[in-house]
Amino acid sequence: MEAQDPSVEEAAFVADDVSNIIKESVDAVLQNQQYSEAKVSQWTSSCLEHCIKRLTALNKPFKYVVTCIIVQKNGAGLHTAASCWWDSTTDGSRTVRWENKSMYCICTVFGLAI
Amino acid sequence: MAEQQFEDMEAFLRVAKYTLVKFTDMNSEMKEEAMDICITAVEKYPNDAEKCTQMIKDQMDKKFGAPWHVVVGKGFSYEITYEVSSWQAAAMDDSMPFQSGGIKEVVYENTYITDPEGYGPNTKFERHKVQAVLKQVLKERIEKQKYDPVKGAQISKQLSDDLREKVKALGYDRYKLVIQVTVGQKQGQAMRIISRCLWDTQSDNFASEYYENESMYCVCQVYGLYYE
Repeated sequence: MEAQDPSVEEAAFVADDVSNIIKESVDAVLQNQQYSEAKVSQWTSSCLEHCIKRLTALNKPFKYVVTCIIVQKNGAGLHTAASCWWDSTTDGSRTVRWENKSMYCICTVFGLAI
Repeated sequence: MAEQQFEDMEAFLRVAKYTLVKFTDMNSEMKEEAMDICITAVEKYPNDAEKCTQMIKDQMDKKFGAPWHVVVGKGFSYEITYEVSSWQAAAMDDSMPFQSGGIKEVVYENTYITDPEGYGPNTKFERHKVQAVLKQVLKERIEKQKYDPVKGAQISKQLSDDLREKVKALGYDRYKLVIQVTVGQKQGQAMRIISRCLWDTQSDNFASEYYENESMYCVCQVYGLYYE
């Protein structure tokens, strides 16, 4: 029996690490901020940059897709759904919901094995 | 003379009572274990083929992972496709000839093709085609709808499933798909959806469409990631 590479054993998507990363990135950028039309695009970009940098630092053989939705709190309803065509043994996704007094932020990371 | 032969045969059998392995490509560990399991089973149930096969299959599944196919009998012919290194045909003299083969997961051979174009024309994720499909589906579904909190959840789920089927039908075989649908109520609020991806820019792509009517809006994104 051949020995398995250690990298192969770690190849499954580890959801917990990822959700921590997302939470921290969002917190770092949006904490205590008020919703402001001008700044929103800047925030989303920096949130996503943070996320991606830290995901790459995990050094796993994965492709990532990160989406971020920021909505102003207005009493409006919002629904999000995702459907995926992938290999369920190696791929996974994680969604983190974050809110403060003026806005909601929904951040999703999809990780697909190479 | 015949009697002598017969005696010799019996004596021979008694002495050399072990399995005759006709063909196998298992490695020696697996082979030894498989042989042991088979011998025990046949000795335990010499006249009951069903129990015998059940026992062998259970043990092989436990030890080496499902699924295994086991055939026990006194006369049969076969045609089997199997995964390499898990096939064994053996005969136990005088009682029951048997064979067991394992058909495990399919092993893919190397195609030596590294990008989507290698599989033929029209295999690269084409953004405009996907966008056209998205537009059409969104229009059909959302045109006459009014925002309703209960229905909204259903709509978004159904939409994402439908879109997945339609994009699959476009025939991008080597692509993994991720489809995200967001449905919201129009109430004068502002919102922003942004995405960032870490992928291979030459082979992966995405398409996104936006549709709105008087009471609601819908945004959907389709990401196609090439998988070797």
